Amino acid sequence: MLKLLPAQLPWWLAGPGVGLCVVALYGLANRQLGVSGAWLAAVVGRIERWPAQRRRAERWQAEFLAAMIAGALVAGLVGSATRLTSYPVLSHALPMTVLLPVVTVAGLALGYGARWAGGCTSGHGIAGCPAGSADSLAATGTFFCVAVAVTLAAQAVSGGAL
Amino acid sequence: MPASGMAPMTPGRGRRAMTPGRGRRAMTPGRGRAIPPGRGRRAVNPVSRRAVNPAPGAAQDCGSRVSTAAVGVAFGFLLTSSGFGNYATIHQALLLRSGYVYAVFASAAAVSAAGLALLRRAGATAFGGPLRLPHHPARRRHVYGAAVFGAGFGISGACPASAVAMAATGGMGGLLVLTGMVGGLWLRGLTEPETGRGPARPPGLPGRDSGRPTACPAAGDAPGHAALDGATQEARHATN
Repeated sequence: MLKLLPAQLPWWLAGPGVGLCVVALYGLANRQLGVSGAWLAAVVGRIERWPAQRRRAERWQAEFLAAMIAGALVAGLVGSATRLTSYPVLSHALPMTVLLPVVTVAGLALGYGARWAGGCTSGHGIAGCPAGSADSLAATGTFFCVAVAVTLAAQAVSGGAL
Repeated sequence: MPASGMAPMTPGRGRRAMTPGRGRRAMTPGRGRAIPPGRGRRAVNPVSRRAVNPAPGAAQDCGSRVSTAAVGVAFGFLLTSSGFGNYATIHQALLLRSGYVYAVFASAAAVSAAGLALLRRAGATAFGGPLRLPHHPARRRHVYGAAVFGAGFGISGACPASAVAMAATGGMGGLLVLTGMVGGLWLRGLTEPETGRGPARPPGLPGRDSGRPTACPAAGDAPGHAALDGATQEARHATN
């Protein structure tokens, strides 16, 4: 909104910066960066009424999530790409009655799959892979391949609209 | 992967740092002897009657909380300002038309692999005790779960982190994705209760090789809980 930043940082700033975040969290707090785990501990843990001991052990995840949201909001405030939209790009291709359920179901798949796989793009992809953990390498390879396949298939089926 | 290529070069150090059970047992007693919590004389300020040195865990705990928050802010900021909240950014990458996302991923992985090599050498962390890096075998659930995740990723063009960035840059659909995602996390907990009840590793196996609830390990993470016996914790989870 304030347009203090370009719409997109160059990859050679964003990538190494994210890498340093991962190293910093390991090296300072001995913790593995992961966003789906943070959502799990911060929100789902309350719904599932985790025992107090586990809630205490994973409290840092809620704090991490809150900090991450704060950082994202600051970036949204000073960035130049911030504007109110319903769903970028997709809302032009799909009517609202289709878009809303599709996006919700996609969100369900994200959460369901992340918990099944034990992590997401951040936990496995950018924090687990550099540590050389086999589960992270398998999961990251799988979800990128499936996501590319699904996207290409959707484009082919929709005749280039998606 | 650079990290796996690095492992053979420093086999001794790498293995010790990465074997959770052994490393922790080997190093915790020493730390405990050095600063016994709550034993011995306590220095008290005669005026304020407060302990001059707070409990040994307090400074560590404060340090890890502050650094976790700082990393969280930086991570959210970077992700958002590099356009990960924009559907088009992810979509172009998944259509293999743009290399931006892959360049970010690859450079992030390269930098963190290099940083982790240094950390392994040090073997210790600033506020979290001896370094423990994830070292888990790949199982079917990682592939199946990632396939479901990938389908959602491909359709929505968002992941649990980038949906936050989407909402923060005004994309209200990000909130919808996040709502669905929380529902999915909860749903998976119903389907497979043991994954929702903490570390469900088979008894007798040391370490945390299986049953991470999510990418971030549940047990023994906070410095104050490092001494907790894993089996006790597991039993409590199983009964709750």
